[in-house]
Order: sequence, then structure tokens, then C-alpha cells
Amino acid sequence: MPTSKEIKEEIQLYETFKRVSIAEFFERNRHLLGFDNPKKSLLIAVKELVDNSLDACEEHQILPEIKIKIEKQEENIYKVSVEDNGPGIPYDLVPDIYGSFLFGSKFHRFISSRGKQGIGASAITLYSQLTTREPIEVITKVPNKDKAIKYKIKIDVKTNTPIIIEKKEIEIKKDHGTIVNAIILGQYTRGKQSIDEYIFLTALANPHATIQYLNPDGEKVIYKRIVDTIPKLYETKPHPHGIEIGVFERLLKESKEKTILSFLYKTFSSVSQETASKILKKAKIDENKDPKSLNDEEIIRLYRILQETKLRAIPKKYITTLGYETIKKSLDVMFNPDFSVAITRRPSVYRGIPFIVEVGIAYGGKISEFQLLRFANRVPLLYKAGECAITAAAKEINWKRYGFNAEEGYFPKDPIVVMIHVASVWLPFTSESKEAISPYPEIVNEIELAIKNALREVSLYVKKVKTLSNISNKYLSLFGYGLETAEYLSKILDTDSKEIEKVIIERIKKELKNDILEIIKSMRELKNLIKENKDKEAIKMLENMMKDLYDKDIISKNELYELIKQTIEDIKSKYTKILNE
Amino acid sequence: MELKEKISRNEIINRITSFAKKIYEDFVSGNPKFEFIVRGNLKNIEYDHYKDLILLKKRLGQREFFNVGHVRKFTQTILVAALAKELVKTNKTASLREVYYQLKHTIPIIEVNTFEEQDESDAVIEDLERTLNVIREQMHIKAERRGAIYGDIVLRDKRRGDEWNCSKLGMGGWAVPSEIENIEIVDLNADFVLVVEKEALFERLIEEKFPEKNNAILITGQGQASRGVKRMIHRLRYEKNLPVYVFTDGDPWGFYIYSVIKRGSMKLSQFSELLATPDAKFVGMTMDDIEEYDLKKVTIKLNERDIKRVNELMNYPWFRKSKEWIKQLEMMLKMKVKVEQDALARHSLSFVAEKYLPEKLSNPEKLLN
Repeated sequence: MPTSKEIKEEIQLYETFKRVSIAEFFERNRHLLGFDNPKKSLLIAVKELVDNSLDACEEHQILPEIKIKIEKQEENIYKVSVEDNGPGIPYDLVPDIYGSFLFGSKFHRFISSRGKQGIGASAITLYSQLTTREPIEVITKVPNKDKAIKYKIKIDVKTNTPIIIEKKEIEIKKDHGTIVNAIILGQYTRGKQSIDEYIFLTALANPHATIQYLNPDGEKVIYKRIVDTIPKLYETKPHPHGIEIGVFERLLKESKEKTILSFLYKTFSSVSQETASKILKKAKIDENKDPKSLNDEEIIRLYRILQETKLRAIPKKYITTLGYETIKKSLDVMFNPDFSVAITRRPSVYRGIPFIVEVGIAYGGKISEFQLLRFANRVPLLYKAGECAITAAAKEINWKRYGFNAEEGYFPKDPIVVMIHVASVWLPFTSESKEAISPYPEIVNEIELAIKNALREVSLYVKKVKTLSNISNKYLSLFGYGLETAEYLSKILDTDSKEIEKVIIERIKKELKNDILEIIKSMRELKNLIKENKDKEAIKMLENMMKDLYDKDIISKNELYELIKQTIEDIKSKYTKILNE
Repeated sequence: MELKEKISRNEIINRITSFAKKIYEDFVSGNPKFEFIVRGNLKNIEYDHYKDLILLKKRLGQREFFNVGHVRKFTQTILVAALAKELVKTNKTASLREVYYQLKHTIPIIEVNTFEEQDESDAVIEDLERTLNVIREQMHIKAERRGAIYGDIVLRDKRRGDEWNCSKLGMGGWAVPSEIENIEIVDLNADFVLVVEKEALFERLIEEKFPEKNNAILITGQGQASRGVKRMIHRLRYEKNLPVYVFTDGDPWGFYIYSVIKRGSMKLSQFSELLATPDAKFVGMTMDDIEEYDLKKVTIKLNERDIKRVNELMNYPWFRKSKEWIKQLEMMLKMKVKVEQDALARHSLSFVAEKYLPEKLSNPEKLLN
């Protein structure tokens, strides 16, 4: 449930919006929406368009093909172009979407999918207008029309209505999809918190999408899709808590219900007829009133009481997670690690609202340093890491205890990528720009537990690798000293040194077999391979870990192979219960 | 009583062979390892107040081949055992240093040396002594000579048959070997034994004709006395009934040298009964001597190591129990100085021989014990 402070802020913002002109509001709240500076503005624009494309494809269960192009036109002026293979936009809706501000439909908090986290495409139109005086260009085609339509749109700031600069039908090669072109003031840089990073992370969190990206330096990169399953978005009735007042107003105005009572319990989840009745009584509004006829004061009053009433939580199935298998696959492809693990936690609850934390950790391989990647509802969070619940949770971890190279209070220096995804119908952000999740204890704790879960596995793996590299050294030592011992024992016992050598080597090999057994016992991967009868692969893995032994001619490759094979056979015949530990 | 049991060469060879055989059998079907009595250290020695001796609490340790922490020492022990058997069989001896050089080589595969420093092989030889319950001389390994004896005493080497008088060998006297079990004391003409820490003082006293003028046998350990020197002192006291006096620097190291002669060392505590001379008395240098003999101007400031050592000594039970000794150590800490034997030369070169020693030795009951 939102706090009274949050409700108050929401209402204040709404009232302000209703009073001032769009331009003023936008100017006043630019930073709140992310248009802090040219570098960030460019990012926000790309983000908004890409998110919209992903949303559109997902809603229609289309595997997204997205093309992003950023071209430098002049100093600080960039042309941003985003193309998708979505369903296309109904031609007559285009001007409203790109040419007028609907307060609340896309501004403030989430409702369910990522797009509603954005600021609205029309914000880009206005930003473009203000900085370069250029209109936004939208080309879209729907399948049931022969030709596509091309628009050039601006916003009439005084009336908050679209100005159609150009509109004409054109032929394009696509059967369906949308292309948006905007020319805006911006700044392109590389490295941290750049568009390049944003697109990489978007590809990581959307492995079902193929994303092509051409940056201002003329470099092209293609992130090919890794999975073919599209996340299912369960369209649900909105939960009243966390809904912004602007959306509430719009729902009232667009409602087909005859009475305010039926509007309440039919439009929203978690509101029964009885609860709706109680709420209306408290708000002193007649149950039979037409929802469209409520005045501003009544809307605000009803909204406030709705927020303050205790309601049932949303069912968990409406939270869209990535899934641990998908996260693992995505990490493997994008980072090429030696080892990766991913988990999806069971839902936890914050203020009555369920949320799910997913963690993916990738280690070693092509990874060179520690990275903490934050995602909220599949959208990468690039800014304000210091304020974020995810960062707070990661800082609580005692990395050293898991065997990593870290000083107290700092992140480790090891090559680890930690990907954290928090999904919920409603997440509390630290500000309107939704760049960091508020670090409430329930949320931080849950994330911390999730990281610890995943970290345990990584830790075990790293320890094993260390032990394994020592296995080679241990046996080099034993064979070296063993042969020496054989020679001198034979001097004392006055026997043939070759005979004693044989005995000692056999004994060492026996010990080696024991150690191989121990290694298998401690590595889930190996146990699984043996269970699945993939003996050859298991043998190869073990051989690799001990190749120093046959490299240095201590035992032959064949002998080592036989030794490992025998050990595996022993497990299968005598020690089968090891496989299930 | 003798330092070693009278064991024949054959017995030694058998002990080494059995040792190796057991290890071989372990390799065939067991866990290759051997046990030995752990070397004496502050934690496992026992101070016998009554006998005033440091004795070893026999505790067993072991070395296993399959323990990566032990495998090197394990192997080194086999190497030394093999060389020892060879020496005994062929009736030859080798010094500690020779053993080191003979056995040092690079082990293939791991490319490390069998021994890096002589310390390593010395330690393994000691381990083997305790494993087989012999002294190294019985394995025909001897330490380098260190220390000498001068005086009217006739000695005989039982193996070779030679005899000699230690006052007729020149200024250096006779260099004492590390093991004197084959040495017989044939004749003796002296009233007491004076053990001197430093060789320089030893020679000074000989030049001043101290042994002749005082009817003394002079021995120097050249620092911490070797086993042979300790054994000689012990035998002179208990076989020939000569009182023993010890003269060292006035610093914690000198005090400890005296302590070891008197009651044995921790390291060799298994031999204390045979090496120690519990009623040896301490002549000096004491802290009182500084005042008594006007040596304030020739003292040396204590350094950190010295101070640390003084504190260590104060914690040894056999020092702690002696009011006299604690007084000395506390005085040393308070005055913050040490005084060397050579400081007596401040007065004159012959002062130590003409004045200091005769004076102190004339009142043996006043000496520290």
C-alpha cells in the first residue's frame, strides 16, 4: 500500500499538471523525467522507443526484430532511428500517441509492462521540438493495409494536441512494424552509462529479441536472439494501489460502466463489490453516480481513499520473470563465462505487493572484472546506483567469506558478473525518473538472500577449481618424491630399484583414484554427466584438469584415461549413492 | 653410564634396514609413514627440579608420505638413512657437511633440490637419531669439531691407540671432536675445570699461563658447547671429580650457555642425563661485576634481540625458581647494558688471569649456581 506521503505527492503532481501548460510542466520536471543533460537525454529517447517496440511485439506475441541507428548530424545533434517488426499502430491513433501528453498513461509508475515505466513517446516529440525544432517522424504499417503511413508530428503546446506537419501513404518492404525517427540534441559517449551499454543490457534481459545497433561511429553490432519463447504477459486488471491518479482519471472518463460502484469492482483486481461499497461510503459519493460525471475534487477524494484502503494482494502469476534457465543462457552467450548459475526466488512481499527477485551470476572465462547489473521489470537501470536497493543488498554481502578477493565493504576484484532482476507489478522507485529501487528493508533483504543463494554455488565452483589445480601439483610432488624414495629404499634393502618403483607408483595411482572420486563427489556437473551416461564427457573434463600429469610424462595419457574410466565405473557399480548426494 | 647403548654396527644396520622394510611394506598395502620422538621444545620438555635437569617428555610424532606437508621430509629421511647404512657398512664416517653435499641433487619431475641448505639435512639427521634411538656418531655421522681443551691431561683414542697430553699440543690445545666415546682419560693433574665461552679468552688465559699457575684444565666451547665438549665436562666432573666453573659474557646468551652446560638443552633433552653437569658453578660476568670491577665505562647497550631473550629466559622454569638469577636478569634490564668477558682488559690484558679469576675462584661459595 502506498504511504500517505506517496499519495500526497501523487495528488500534488496531478494538481500541478492540471494547472500549468504542458511546456511549463515539462520544463519544470525535465530532470525528473531523465532529460538532465544531453548525454542522458539521448539515452532516454532511445530507451523509450526501444521499450515501446519490445512492448508492442510482446503484446502481440511476435519475436522482436529491432533495428537501432544513431547518426551524428552536427555537433551535438543526433538522428535517432528505431525500427521494429511489431503489429504496427492503427493509423489514426498515431498523432495522439506521439503528439499529445496524456498525464499518467506513461509518465509515472509501472503498471505491468516495461513501457509504462517510460515517459511517453510524446516527450521525445516535445524535447525534439524544443531543442532542434524538428518534428518526430513516424512510419507505420499494419498487416491489413496495402500501404504504410508516414507522419511528421509536433505538439501544440498550448492545447496539448498534435500538429500534423506531414501525412502521406508510402510503400515499404515490411508487412507490419513501426519506424520512428527523431532529431534531437544529445551527446554520444562510450563506456559506462552509455547507450552502447544500455543496448547490451537490454539484449541481455531480452534474449528473445534480435537487436541490431549502428552507433554514431559507424560500428554495427547484432545481438541475435538466444531463445524462441516470448514472455507471456498476463493482462490483468490493474491493482488500485500504485496506480497513478492520472490513470485513474482516464479510466473513469473512458469507462463503459453505468455506475461508479460497478466501475470500481469491475475495473480493478482485488476490489470486491462489498469493498467498493465501503469505499464509496467513506468518500461520500453516491454508488449510482455515473463515473464520467465525477468532478476533480471527487476524483481526488476517491483516489485518496482507494489508496488508503487495505486490499488483497495481486496474484503472483501477473509478475513477468525472465526464468532462471533463460537468464543462465543469456549470461552464457553474452559473457562467455567458465561457469554460470541463475535462480528465480519464490515471491516475496513488500507492503502487500508481491515481487520476485532473480539472480544470475557468471564467473571467469571472458569476464575480466566485477560488474553489478541491475534490472527492474526487465529494464536495465543505469543511473543512481548508490540509491538503489540492489546495490545496498550487494554491499551487505561478505564476499570474502565466499572465497572472493574483496576488502571489507568493497566489491570483489574477481571476474564476476552479478545480474539482478527485480520484477513486480509495482516497484517503489527513489524518484520520478525510476532509476533506482527504493532500498526498503524487505526488498534489500530478499535481494541479499537471493544473491547469497546463487553465490554459494559459484563459491563451490571456484573452490573446486582451486583444489583441482592443486591435484596436479599434489601428484607431481608425490611422483617426484616417490621415485626418489624408491631409489634410496632399494639401496637400503639391496633390491632392484625398478621393482620398488613399481610398487610405489601403483600405490600413488591408488591414491589418485581416491582423489578422483573425491573430485567427482564434489562437482555437480560431473555427477550429472555420469548420471546421464555421458561418461566420455566426464572423462574429458577430468583429463583436462590433470593434463600436467601426462604432459610431464609421469603417467601416460592412456593410463590416466584408464584410471579415470575405472573410477567412474566403480562409482556406477559400487558407489552409486554418491551420484545422488 | 655411557652416552649410547653399546650397540654393534650390525645392530645399527639392522635398525636402518627394518625401518626401510616397514616403509616398503606400507607402500605395498598401507599408509607409508614412520614415527619418531618429537624434538624437545619449551612445550614438551619437563624440568626436573630435584635433579635440576631438563628432561624430555617423550611424545610421538609421525611423517606420512601421502601428506603433502610431510612428503619432502619423509623422502629426505630415507635418503639420510641410506647413506648412514652405507657409512656403517663400509666403516667410514662423514661430517654433517659431507652428508649434505653427498645427498644434494635435483629431483627430476618436480625440479627441486633434495636439500636446499645444510640446516635441512642437519635437522633430518637429528630426526633419524630420535627415530632409530641412536646418536649420529653411531650412524657414523659426525659434527665438525668445535671447542678445545688445554691442560695437564693425558687422553687416549681407543680405536687408533694414540695418546697425547693436552698441554703439549701448542697454544690451541686439543680440538674436541663432537663425540668422545672412544676417548679415554689416562692421566690428570688438575684441581678444577674452567669452561670459557670465547676462544679469544681461552687463548688469553693460555698466554698468561693461567692453567699452569692455577692447576686448571681449560675448555672452550667457542660459544654454545658441542655435544663432545659437554660430554667432556660431564666426564671430568663425574668420572674424575673435578669441580666445574663456567665463565661467559654477561649477557642473556652467555647465561644460557651456562644453563645448558648445567642442566642440558631442550633440543637434546633426551641426552640430558649424560651431557649435563648440574653442579657447575657460574663465575661471571655478573651484573655485580660491573660495579665491583669498575667496568661501567666498557659496557654495551642492550639491543632489541637481547631484551627479547632476557624476557624469554625469565620465563624458563629453571631461571624463574632462582632468586639470584632473576635478580641478575632484572638488573640487566634495569641497567640496560651487557658486559663482555673481554671488558676486563680495560684494566690490563692480564687482569682477567691475575686478578679477576683468582679472586672469584677463591670464594666458590659466593658464586652463582
